[in-house]
Amino acid sequence: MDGIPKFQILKDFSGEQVFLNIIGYLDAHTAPDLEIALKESMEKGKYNIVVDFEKLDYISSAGFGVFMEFIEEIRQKNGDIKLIAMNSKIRHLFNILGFDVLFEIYNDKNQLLGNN
Amino acid sequence: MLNAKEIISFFKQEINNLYFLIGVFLAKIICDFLLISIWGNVGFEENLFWKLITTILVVFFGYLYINQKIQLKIFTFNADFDNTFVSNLKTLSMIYLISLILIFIIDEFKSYIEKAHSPFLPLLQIFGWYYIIVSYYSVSLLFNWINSKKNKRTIAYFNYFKITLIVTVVYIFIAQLINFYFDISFLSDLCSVLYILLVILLGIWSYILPYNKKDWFSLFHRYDLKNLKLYLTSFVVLSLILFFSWVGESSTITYSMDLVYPEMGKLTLLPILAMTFYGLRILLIMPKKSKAQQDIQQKVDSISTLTAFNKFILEENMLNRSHLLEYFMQSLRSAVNVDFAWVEDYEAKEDNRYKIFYNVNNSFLEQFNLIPNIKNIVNSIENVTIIASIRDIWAQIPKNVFRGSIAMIPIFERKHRVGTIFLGRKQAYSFATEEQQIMNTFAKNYEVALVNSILLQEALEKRRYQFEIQLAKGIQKKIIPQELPKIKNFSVAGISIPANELGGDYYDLIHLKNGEPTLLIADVSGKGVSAALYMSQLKGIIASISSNIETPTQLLENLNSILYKHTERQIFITLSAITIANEKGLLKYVRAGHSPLIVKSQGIILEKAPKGIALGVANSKIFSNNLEEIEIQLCKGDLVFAYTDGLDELKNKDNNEYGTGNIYKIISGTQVTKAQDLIDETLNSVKSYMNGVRQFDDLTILTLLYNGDE
Repeated sequence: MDGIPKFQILKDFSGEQVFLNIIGYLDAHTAPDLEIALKESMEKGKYNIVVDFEKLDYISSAGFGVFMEFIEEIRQKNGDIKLIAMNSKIRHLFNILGFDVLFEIYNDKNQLLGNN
Repeated sequence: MLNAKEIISFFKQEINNLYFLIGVFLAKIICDFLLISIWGNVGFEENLFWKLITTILVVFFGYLYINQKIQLKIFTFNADFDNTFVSNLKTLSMIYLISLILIFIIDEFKSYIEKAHSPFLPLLQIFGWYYIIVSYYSVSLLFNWINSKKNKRTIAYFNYFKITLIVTVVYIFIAQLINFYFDISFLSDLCSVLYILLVILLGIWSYILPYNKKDWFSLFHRYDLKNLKLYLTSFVVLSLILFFSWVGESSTITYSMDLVYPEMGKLTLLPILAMTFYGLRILLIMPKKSKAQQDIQQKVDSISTLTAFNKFILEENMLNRSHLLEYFMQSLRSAVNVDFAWVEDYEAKEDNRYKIFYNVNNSFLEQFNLIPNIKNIVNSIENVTIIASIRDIWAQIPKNVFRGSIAMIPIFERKHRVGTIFLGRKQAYSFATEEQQIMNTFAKNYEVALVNSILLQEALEKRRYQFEIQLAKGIQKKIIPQELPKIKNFSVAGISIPANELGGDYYDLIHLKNGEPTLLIADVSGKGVSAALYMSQLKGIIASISSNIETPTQLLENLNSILYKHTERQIFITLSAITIANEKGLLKYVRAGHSPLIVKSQGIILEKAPKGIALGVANSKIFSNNLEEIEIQLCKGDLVFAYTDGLDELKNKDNNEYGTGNIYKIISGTQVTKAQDLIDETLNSVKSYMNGVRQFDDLTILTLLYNGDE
């Protein structure tokens, strides 16, 4: 872990959909970073957000909490948070918590674009 | 053309004054000699006029030169009166001794010239000039000494002294003229009486002048008292002898000076007299104690003040800054005697920075702020710094602001400057090195004592916090049942181990409206105090609604709608409810996002994970639409194992998760006679798996064994 940040977000605000690529460990300590990124997107008036889970290794309850915090406001503005490319373990957690019914989850970008 | 500035700067140079002095002096002596030897005796008036002009000139240049010399000597010598005092005393004693020895030479010289009827008699005035210089040197030193050690009381007497001196000087000149023009013996006698009275008055003033012992304290403190007494005694004795040799009609000293200017001898006598009484008084006010004794006394005093201050800091729980600074200033004041003091508190608002005045008023502070650059000086100091109204010191106080000295003591808290304490004395030279050391020690002590007390305060607060956490822990223990009530045909057991003092996990056994026992296990998102608070809230909600609830589904729906309304969106609770529907082993099971139930049914291990969203994040409609209730029929010996994610997500030192696999192993491999066996076995397994690594999340297990219907 030395020198490598515990958590990183790659942000892409260029398109109509915002892409947030979250990498590493999303827990109580790193959750505020994701909060800031989501707020930033909302401040730019972009409510269609895609969060890429491909390189996310771990998510804690505080990490889940961030998505819960903003989803209602975003949906009120006719936007949505879509989640893509989760590893099986995180996908399993979503299923257990029942959050899979609250979010649209896609296997990868292609599936997401095909659906749109 | 020379302008005024150039002339002044010309006379400011010592060497120029010396040339003029020598020039005028030689001219005077030569002319005196010529007047007598070539033109014979000149009329008294012409002689007086000549002598007056030349004397004034010699005195003027002599004054400029000697004054510059003395001033430099007094002020630049370590810029410290206490150091210069003894050396000046020694010099003066030496000069007086030479004066006494000279008497014999003058006597011999005079009687030789008189016998030989030589015209060289005016040359005797060379000795007269020496005595004039001695007298002038004495009066200059006296004035400087008085200035350095003056206080309110001596300022008044100093003025009386100066007035008497001027009156005497003017009187001598007038008496001279009266004597010349009206040779009335009655008036002459009256004049002598007046002169004696003035001399006595001067003596009294000089004796009173060094009155205040406190002003001399630092001097007495610094030197070996024995030596100082010896110098002073020999000085007083010498000046007394000189005084009595000077006075009297037949005195050769007076004679030699009268050649310079008539009655000059009477005039120059006055400073010698003043010095004698001044020195005598200092000798008499000297303390009896030795320096060593005083040193010890002062140290004891300052240490006890310091101890009292430290005690005060520790007892002052509020740690009110300005209160502390005030007490600190008062402590310092009793350790170092001062005339006035005040405190500047930087934590206070801009207009309220100066506080706690001792003999200081606002107009004084306004004056103080007139000192050039004073704000920057005060801000930049890191140690005790002295400023005074003398030259050659780091920051001089202009004399029009005030005369005296101020010690500035910067106060720091954890390297952060919080204030300045100002201690002042009315004398320019007054803070001895030892006193500065005491102030420095006090200032350092303040910093250390304050940091200590802050640390102590924090330690106490931490202890109080720990105590409160322990209280909360005790309360939480009561929320989670220590032992679950017995249920017919079933054996139940549960345990909850928080990662920190307080946990967010919960398990319980409640009874629904129809009396069906229902096991609950829950996990509040997050950890620590906030999770513990939500957990007790959950317990409260369950306790208040359970008696009106008929099915576990209904329980979860109600809980969700309440939590959805009343908790923050990012907080959610996962919960499983297992209702024992009858005594024949039928269970009803609902799950709100919680870890699946593990069931060992007739030797086969199954995971039961009906649909369900965690509590508090979805509205009632979505929640209900996604909630599934299932039934589980148990047979005799079947096991149910419920847990929170703190168990399967336990990580050992290799960062590997404990996982559900290990749980399966325990369930399949353990001989179970009661539900507690399964918990004990799990805890043993966890302990060996973790091997000392700290538990990261709260961990809760709930087990159920069906004993069969008997």
